Amino acid sequence: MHSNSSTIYKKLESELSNIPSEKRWEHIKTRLLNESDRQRREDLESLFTFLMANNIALPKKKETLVAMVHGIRTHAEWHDQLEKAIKSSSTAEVKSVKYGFFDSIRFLMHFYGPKLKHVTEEFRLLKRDYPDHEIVIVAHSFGTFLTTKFIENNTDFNVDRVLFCGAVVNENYNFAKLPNFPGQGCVINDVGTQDIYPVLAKSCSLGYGASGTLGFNRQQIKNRYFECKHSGFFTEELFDSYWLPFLLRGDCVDSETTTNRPMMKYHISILSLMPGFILIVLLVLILIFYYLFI
Amino acid sequence: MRKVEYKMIDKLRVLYEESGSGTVARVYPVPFLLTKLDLVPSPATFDIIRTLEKRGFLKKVFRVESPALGGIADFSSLVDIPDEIDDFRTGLSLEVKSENIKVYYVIQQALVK
Repeated sequence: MHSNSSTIYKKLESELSNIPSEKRWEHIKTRLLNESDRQRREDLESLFTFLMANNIALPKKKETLVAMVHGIRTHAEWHDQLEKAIKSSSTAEVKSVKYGFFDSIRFLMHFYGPKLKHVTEEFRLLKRDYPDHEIVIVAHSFGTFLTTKFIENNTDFNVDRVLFCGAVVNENYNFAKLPNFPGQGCVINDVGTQDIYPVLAKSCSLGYGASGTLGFNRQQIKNRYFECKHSGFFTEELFDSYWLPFLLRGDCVDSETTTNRPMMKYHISILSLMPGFILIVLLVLILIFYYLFI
Repeated sequence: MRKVEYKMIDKLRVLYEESGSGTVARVYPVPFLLTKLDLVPSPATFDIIRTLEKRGFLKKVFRVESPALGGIADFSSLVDIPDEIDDFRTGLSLEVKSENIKVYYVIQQALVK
């Protein structure tokens, strides 16, 4: 870049940094209206926009808001435990995104429309009430599915970090296509090596995945392993050692199990073979029964 | 155009095709676009983006967003944004402030193809 352009860049960067954030767009608009030369006005507009959109000249560190999303058949008791852990060591805001009790039948039949609508409204309201906070989402089980659907359907809603555990999202889901999905180093998937529920969700229905047992096959997501079952993540030790560093500061602390985990059990491999595996087996059994006895 | 700008056009083409067809919109927030182009915010990066804009490969869009429920209207220039706008999502009139304005880039289809 020419030294003259670089000088203009730095001059405008300095100009913006001396203006309160809520008045910056107004200031830019006034500057543009006062510029009579069309080419120069367009260049100025592009440069100011570039600086604003990249949060340059905005050195203030954003406050953090942690939003928690629970799974099925629960009233999210772990939300209170996590909130207590976070508030005892930081000034971050902690909000519980609840959608009420959701039973297994509706879960397997994919009757989640009203729950997704409710969760969408809750997230939008959080954004309205905390517009300058970085948004960090921690979701468990079916909450991971709702969170993924929400991010997919609301690409104007930026998320800064995501922590999944017990996830029932497709292991091959292409997060890269979502412009609002956080980038490398900002998404962790905590996997329970003894967690059978994601595999059961995948094999008893169509549309869910076993990422909570098998991990994601996507490089944007960091898979981290723990020797625990589906709800075994909710311990004070795990919160303090692994979750809080990531939720509050974006630090990923590796677990010992990640590099030292046992081989997957054979029956888990079979069950995770394809979506709806158990459904298909049941259907075949019903057809055989019908043919033999009716 | 410089070699680096040709390289960026190739990356834009890949990004455009990655987005696929259907419901995913080809509207990109600026930081996301820079990440996809392997660029960091700097005077040199601005130079590249501005060249791509001038050549018509990228188009800047200013989107006015409702406080709670997403985009209301798009404008090609900041000076075109009115002080007040009808928010069809809430049925109310919105006084446009800084926090309602978001900037996106659109990859121009014909040029990338």
